[in-house]
Formats: sequence, structure tokens, C-alpha cells
Amino acid sequence: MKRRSVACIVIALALLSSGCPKTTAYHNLAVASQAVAHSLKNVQDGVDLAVSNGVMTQAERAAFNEYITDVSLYGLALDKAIRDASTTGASVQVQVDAFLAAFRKLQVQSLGIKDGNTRLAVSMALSSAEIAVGIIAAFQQPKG
Amino acid sequence: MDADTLRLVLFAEQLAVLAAKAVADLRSVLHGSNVKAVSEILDDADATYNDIIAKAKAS
Repeated sequence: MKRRSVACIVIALALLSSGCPKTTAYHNLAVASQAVAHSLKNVQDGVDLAVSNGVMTQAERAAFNEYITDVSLYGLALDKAIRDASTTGASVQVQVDAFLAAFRKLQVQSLGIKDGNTRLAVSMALSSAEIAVGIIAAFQQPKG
Repeated sequence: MDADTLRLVLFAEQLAVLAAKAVADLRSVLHGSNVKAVSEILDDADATYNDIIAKAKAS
């Protein structure tokens, strides 16, 4: 009897520590989206700093903001899809692909920033989001 | 040091402060997310995306 109780506790702990693969997959995706959102916010702050220091024009900021807004809108759509998927198991692939495409466009846009220091700072800040974007790109829909 | 150089130095310093904040910010996101539910994490992500959109519209 005692052996059976110990076995039950061990199994329960193993299940708890490993986590449900489905829940873990959506949790990782949510964390990646959150990390990208925070990185983008910092990129936007950097761009504002560049404008206020006179090394980036208002027009450049407006163009950049257009792309960063697109990524954010696709980020919101992705977050909604993650919420739905974590409860209903619906696919998030369309939203993942759209988000990745918008992020790539933002990266290309950042290469067009005229001031070398700002371009470098922005591309470095975007690189910090890359890891989280990589997690989103590698996402595989859990089965079942 | 002329005015342009001084402005660039100040800008570089501000960027360094921002980079340090960004690292601290990400660290806190990744550290805190271990114990948070998916919905809570997504609420924060949504709020941040909405901040970005609002700031972009305002500028």
C-alpha cells in the first residue's frame, strides 16, 4: 500500500514537472510574443530618441512607425489566436506566418534608416527580438 | 568638442541607457513568465502592442 502511494506521488510529480506538452507549447508562444512586444517597445523608444536628437527625420520615423504598427497589429492577432488555440486547439499557423512576414518587413525597413548609428542601434535592438521571433517561427501545433 | 559631436555623445549615452533598460525589461519578462498563466502573459503582450500602436499614432 505504502509502495503504491509513493508510486502515485512520483508519477504526479513527474507529470507536474514536465507540464502538459500542449500547455507548454502555447505558454512558450505567449512568452515569445510578450518578449517581442517589449523589444519592439524599446526599439520605438530608441527611434523617438533619435528623432529628438536630430539624427533621424520625422518622415523616417513615420515610415518606421507604419511597419512597427503592422507588426503590433499582427502581434495582437497572434495573441488572440494563442488564446483561442489554448482552449479550443484551433490552428495558429496563419497568424504565426503573418506575424513573421510583418517582422521581416520591419527589419528590411530598419536597414533604410539613413543615420548609421541609429541604424545600428535599431538593428541591434531588433536582433534582441530575433530570439523570441525564432521561437515563434519554430512553433509546431500540438497534436490533439 | 563641437555641438554636433556633443549631441552624438549624448545620444550614444541615451541609447546605452535604453539598451540596459531593454535587457532588464526582457530579463524580467522571461523570469516572471515562468509562474504566470498564458492569459496573464498575453494580457501584458497585448497592452505593450497597444502602447506601441498608440504612440505611433500620436507621433
